[in-house]
Amino acid sequence: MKGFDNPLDLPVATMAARVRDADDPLTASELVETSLLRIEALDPAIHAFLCTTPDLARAQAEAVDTAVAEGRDPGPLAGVPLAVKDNIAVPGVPLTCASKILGGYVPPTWATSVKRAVDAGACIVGKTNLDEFAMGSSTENSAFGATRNPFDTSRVPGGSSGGSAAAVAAGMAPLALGSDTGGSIRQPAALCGIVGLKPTYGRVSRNGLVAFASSLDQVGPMARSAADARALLEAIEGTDAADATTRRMSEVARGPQTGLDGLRVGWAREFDVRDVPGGAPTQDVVDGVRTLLEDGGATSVDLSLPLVEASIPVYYIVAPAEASSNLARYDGVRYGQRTADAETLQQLYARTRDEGFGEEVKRRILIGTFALSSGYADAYYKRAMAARGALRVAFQEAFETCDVILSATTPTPAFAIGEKAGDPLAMYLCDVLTVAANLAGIPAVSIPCGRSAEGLPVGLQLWGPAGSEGRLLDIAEDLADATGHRYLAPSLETGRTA
Amino acid sequence: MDIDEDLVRNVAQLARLELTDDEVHAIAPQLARIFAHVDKLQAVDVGSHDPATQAPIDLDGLRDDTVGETLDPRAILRNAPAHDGAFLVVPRFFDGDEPSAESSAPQGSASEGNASS
Repeated sequence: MKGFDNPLDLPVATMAARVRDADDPLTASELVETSLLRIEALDPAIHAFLCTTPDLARAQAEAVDTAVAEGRDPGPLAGVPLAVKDNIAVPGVPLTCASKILGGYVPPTWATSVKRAVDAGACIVGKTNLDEFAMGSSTENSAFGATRNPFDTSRVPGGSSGGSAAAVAAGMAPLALGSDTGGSIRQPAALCGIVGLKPTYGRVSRNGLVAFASSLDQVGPMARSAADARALLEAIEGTDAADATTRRMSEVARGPQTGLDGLRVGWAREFDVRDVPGGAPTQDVVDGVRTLLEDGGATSVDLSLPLVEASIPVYYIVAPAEASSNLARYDGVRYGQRTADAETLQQLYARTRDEGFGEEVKRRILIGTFALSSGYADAYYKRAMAARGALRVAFQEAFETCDVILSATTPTPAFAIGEKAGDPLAMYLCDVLTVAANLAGIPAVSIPCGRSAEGLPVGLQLWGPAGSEGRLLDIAEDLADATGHRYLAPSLETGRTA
Repeated sequence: MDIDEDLVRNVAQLARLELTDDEVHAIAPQLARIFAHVDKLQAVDVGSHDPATQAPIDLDGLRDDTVGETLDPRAILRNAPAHDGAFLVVPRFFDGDEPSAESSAPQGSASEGNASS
């Protein structure tokens, strides 16, 4: 137990190994109770959770402890508390997507990703806050109130998986599931000082994830270390008959310890944020990593990816276009809220949707509907899809010359709550360093890389070719060793003394 | 691309969104700014890329076309804002003058058969 006064702060592999060891007194039930207590103590100030699921967590923990007592193996995540973003289905637990329009909806089935984590022994402690339907970069667009950054509660945690990021950063749960359509795992991970990975498109099943932009969405792990994120990814990944876009890919297990010597690291000039307002200190951190890698024997490869500069325009056509279609199902007929004021079916649709959707969701539905409308689809949607294809090819060519591309995850650290709320375009530009991975379908992971002058976390992003998550996490672990930058708990009253 | 309030109203109608005048007034300039940025797309060199050739679906990986487990219709109906035990209930969607095959149905309702989508 050296260095860890509270078992909830142990590395996930250690935590689960102790639960699986019948001779060790640590139980899944103790981990779940500790997590629930921390949520009770800390969450009033953070608002990471939309609901907690104590009965479910205790039942799952009891099943794990019973399995251990009876000599059965409960799995590699035995007893590990897991927070689940509230756009991913858990049967019997309300699913809101942080939207009024889904009020009262209780899904009848499991999302494949959550079910696989539970089958591996994880215990669900609650559902986490998000920007409504995962549309946003700050978790301010929630119908149930904003989440706060555990490092400075006057600032945003990022988004849209801001609740999951804040829950892990504050130590309330060691693992969380997020979803990433344009950066929604990596950006909040960066702003909250944790690890967040967007898998290759098709590695993790989207069955049971509420669809936002189906060709971009991926479920992925959020954790305090690359090793913990790997443990969750190994549990949830794999083909699924319920999602025809899943594909078999190379394993994500830890590879041989090759170190950073000889690594070919790509640096795209389009990812340099020195000239972005407020971006210079972030770029200093990234440049520091470059120097350290070169001193350690890595080769730097300077790249140009001009299409990256078009990635925000491309993304803000493709994602809203898909969203405008996916969100057509919220019409007050089959689930959720229905307007009280409709005499005709058309009024029922239009008024339910106006009353139920928040401002940002309406904005994106309008953008997408317009981009797909007769007379404009060629200029917007088709052109965006052509640029997307060209971007995908540009990344494939870049990865012929390098093993990994490094960049910042966000141009600046966490901004103040309310700072960008009145300016949708400024909020969209927060995603400038992340959306290209979704458009190209490739994996990318954000890892902690020190603190800004104000003490706020700074994230470093590693991009790899399709299927390279295992290698990316190897490099992430080696980089953490080389830089010494790891998750550090915020100074909240968390019951820990480390 | 000029985006004005009339265009926003037209697109909102296509999207089945009944926006208030205040919403239209607020959203029109926001969309104008967003599309001014998005219009940079027109200057991008996309080469000869065909937008229709990027479906990432592996056709060899499709499951067999066999009947599997389905959900209990009652579990689905439980989530509906209004149902009669077998069907979802919505307002009448034929004009009042037209003869309705559902004239014996409960007042103000019409049946829509498929509850499982």
